[in-house]
Amino acid sequence: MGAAIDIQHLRFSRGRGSQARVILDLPRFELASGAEVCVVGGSGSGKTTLLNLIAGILRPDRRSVAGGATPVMCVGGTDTLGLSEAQRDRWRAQTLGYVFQTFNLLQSLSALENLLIAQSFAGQNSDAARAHALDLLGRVGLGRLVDVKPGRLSVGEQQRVAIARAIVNRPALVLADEPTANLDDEHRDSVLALLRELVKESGSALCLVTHDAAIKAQFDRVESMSELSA
Amino acid sequence: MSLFTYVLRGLKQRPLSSALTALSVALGVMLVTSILAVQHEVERSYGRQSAGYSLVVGPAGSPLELVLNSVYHVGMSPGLLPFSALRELEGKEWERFVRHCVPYAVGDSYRGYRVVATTDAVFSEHFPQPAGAGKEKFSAGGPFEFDAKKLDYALDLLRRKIPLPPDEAGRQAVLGAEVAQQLGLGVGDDIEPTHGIEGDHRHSARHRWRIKGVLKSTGTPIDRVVFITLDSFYRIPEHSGGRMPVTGEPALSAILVFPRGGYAKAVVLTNLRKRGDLQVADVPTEIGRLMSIVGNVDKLFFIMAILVLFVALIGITVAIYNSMNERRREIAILRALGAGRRAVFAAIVGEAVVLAAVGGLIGFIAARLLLLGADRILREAAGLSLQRPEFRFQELLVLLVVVAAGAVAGMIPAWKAYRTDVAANLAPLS
Repeated sequence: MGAAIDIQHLRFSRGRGSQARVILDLPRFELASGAEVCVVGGSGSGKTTLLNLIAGILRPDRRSVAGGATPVMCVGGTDTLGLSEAQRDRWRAQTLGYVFQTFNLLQSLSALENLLIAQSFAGQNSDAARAHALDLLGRVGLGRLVDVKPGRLSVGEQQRVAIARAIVNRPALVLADEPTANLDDEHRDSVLALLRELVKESGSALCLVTHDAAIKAQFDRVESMSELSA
Repeated sequence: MSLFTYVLRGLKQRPLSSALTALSVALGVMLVTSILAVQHEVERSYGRQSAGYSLVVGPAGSPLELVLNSVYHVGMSPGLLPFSALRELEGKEWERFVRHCVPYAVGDSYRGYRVVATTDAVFSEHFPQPAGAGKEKFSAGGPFEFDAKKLDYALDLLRRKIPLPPDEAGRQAVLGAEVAQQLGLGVGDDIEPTHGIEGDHRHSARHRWRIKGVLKSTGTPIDRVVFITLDSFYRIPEHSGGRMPVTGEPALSAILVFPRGGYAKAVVLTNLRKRGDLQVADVPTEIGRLMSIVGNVDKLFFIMAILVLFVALIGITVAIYNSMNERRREIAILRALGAGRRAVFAAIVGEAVVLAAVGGLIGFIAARLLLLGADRILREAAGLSLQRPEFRFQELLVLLVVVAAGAVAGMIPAWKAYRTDVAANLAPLS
């Protein structure tokens, strides 16, 4: 398997023609398989945009950046720029895990079902997959709350479900967008530790974006959005 | 965990909205299927119940009223016709054309069931219901004893306005299958009919009729009739005055005429239509006329029911579409987890299909219950029985069309879901 992330000459703009505004211009960004990186930056620096581009939710500009260099975006060993939208959806379900600042759990489903639906999109519907989901919820301390809906869970518990959901398909890469922004200091450290531990156990790479200096201090590799951008 | 489970969970998450939307569909389906079932039962029942009947001769008036009263035993008798009309139709002059005649004199009832006074002609093989002749028509007992001489004697006294003496032995009755079953009566039991079809006036003298037989079940109005002997009818003091107003001749309510064939029927029809003192009604023609009248009313009801259903289906679109604003984030989450646009589109259409299908099934069951509830009313008002309405492909088709229309109704909100901007809707709410 290649690098978890290999991005070259990536540009993302909003608007068209003379109205176009460059939001992100990324000459190069790499992350090895199974490695961790913390990307820091202030509000509006393009952190979430970067994650959405990596996840294939946003599409980068088609045209080459200045100088004629061809954009490259390989994630989990797949050239995602060459994938159709339907292929990207499938690839995303199988290759990526995503942890959001606001957890983004499906409120109509139980904790377990939130994991099962992520598995079903990745084509995993077996009993073994279900057992793995149950095991994972047990690992994050929610073994007795598997049938509880998110609305009845505490904020910390919801984020644990979100982490378990991101890991459940054993993805090549986990993207975490300010995963502890809604938690207090005590929960922040325990949730972050849990996330990193589970990511490591599943052999995934982790790309975490934050503006929190306390989190930044816990990572060996830290990249700044301002330095990454051209 | 399938997308379908997610759809069901989503509907459960919004119980009030889901229930009201499904109920509105149920109302529409209930109306449409009820009307279709009643339409079908009306056509089936009226066709089946009048099978074998040909002509009804009665007093001048509405031929439809005459047929309804004589064949279906509903509504009021249009009046009286002279007994001599029966003798005439049974006479030499008509012998070539008329195979069989059955006289009816009505006006009494027994516990809600109509009493028809007649002769043993009603047990002939030429009388269509029940099939067969004599005892073959009976599930228990046999025909009442009919003595033509007794009848002639009674008629003679009636003409001379001499009070008829009572005849205990001659008071005999035969019950239709439903009368016997519903009232728990059998051969050897006695009944005491009352005056009037509503059965609210006792006769001045309390007389009892002995049940001699119970007819086989036919699924026709005959099942709801009590037959008594004609001469015993005339011997009831209230009925001895039942004579033609001017001539004073004994009267009948109607004569069922069974011609010897198509040509004979045409001859009888043509000749009797020239008569001013009576009328002849062609049963199939009158039923056809009734069906065309009922059919127009049916069409109106059906169009209204379709409109109700249409509004209910629009309700599905509105209910789901309105929920889309608060569900944009949910859609975005699904997409971020790897659900394709088509899967999201299918989930929303699936939601509409489930609402339409659940509503359709509830409506279908409600229609069946409604028909059962309306059975007694329709039976009394129109002689229709809806106790066992057939399940027909047409009703299944209604359900399928409703489910398909539900899918179409879901497409507008599904298109909105399809176009959801994932990145914008994943962002934290400010």
